[in-house]
Amino acid sequence: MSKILVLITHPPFGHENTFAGLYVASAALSKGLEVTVAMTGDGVYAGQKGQVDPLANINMPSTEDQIRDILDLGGRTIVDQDSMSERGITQEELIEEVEVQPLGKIQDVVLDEGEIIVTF
Amino acid sequence: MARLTMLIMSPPHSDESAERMCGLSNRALERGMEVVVYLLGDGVLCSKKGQKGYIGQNIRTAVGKGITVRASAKDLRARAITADQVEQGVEVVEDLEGEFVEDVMEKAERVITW
Amino acid sequence: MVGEGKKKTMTMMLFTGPYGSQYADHMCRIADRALDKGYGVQIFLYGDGVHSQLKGQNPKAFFNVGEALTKLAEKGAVIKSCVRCSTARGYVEGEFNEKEERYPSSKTIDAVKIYSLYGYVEMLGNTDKAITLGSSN
Repeated sequence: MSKILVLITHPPFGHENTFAGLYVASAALSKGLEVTVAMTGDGVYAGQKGQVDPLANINMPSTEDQIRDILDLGGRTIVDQDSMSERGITQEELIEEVEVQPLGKIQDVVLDEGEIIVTF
Repeated sequence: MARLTMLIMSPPHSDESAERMCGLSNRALERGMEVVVYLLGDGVLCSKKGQKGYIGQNIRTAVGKGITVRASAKDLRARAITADQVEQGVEVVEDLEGEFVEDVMEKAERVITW
Repeated sequence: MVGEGKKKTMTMMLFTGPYGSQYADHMCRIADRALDKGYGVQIFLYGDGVHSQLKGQNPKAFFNVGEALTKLAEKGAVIKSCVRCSTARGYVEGEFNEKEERYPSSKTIDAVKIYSLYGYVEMLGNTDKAITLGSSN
């Protein structure tokens, strides 16, 4: 089975990148591929919980819902602790089921598991 | 030895791409991997000699540690960067796209494009 | 992965439109070199990358991306674009055509088939290596 690593490096909403990357992740999972989503740099903002109806507020689909779908489909989601710290984001602010790992560990995931790596 | 191949296409300080490249390169080296970085488009600006910022320093250190850095000759010429203005140890390659393809398809175990 | 006896394949995803940056140019050049070297090439246009499928591109001083994609398809590249992104940007003009395996559009070059995102997933599931351009910055 193919392993896909989706790297998210943008915050949600300001650019389409995060939505597009998470969409690839869930589409791949639904077709039976193994998927890990790693959020690093500004991508860590996508791991936050509590988005209040982005569709109603800013006409954008909820990336929080996308991440929850990815988790339900069996995908692995990891958030970069170093990037969180730089941006003042605490673990309590994140969706509960996402993993938090230091940058070095995320780099190891990239090097160990990134058979196919797509960056967003 | 396993190889990590990366492609950078943005300038050194416009976004985090080059910084991520440096961090991952260092990690890969620590783990005994071979690292090759291709600079294409605005990415060739990362190879300019004399940079005092983090990326320039990292490129110098990286070359010193054995990371191979290859920059597109066509993109350098277009940007008025001559061979002697490129950081020592950076290879200036005429057919960078072709070499990148060969590397990715035949040699690299991990490929990331930023 | 490509099986024994089949040539190796590279998959490329383009996320940004033509002319605003060099990503589309470089993708086409990399794809061309890959085909010259005997590799299979799969290209997926995603996000603003779908604009590269527009018919009638006529840049005065830039690399013509539309023509380049047409030549790549003639050389054997398989090129698809995302239907959701294409619909958002006004390209799609009807329901999926089962026979032609594409969504219809009079505005796009023949070389690019508008398809669901599962087309990209299928490419990723059947490739040796993959790269993305214009999506990480």
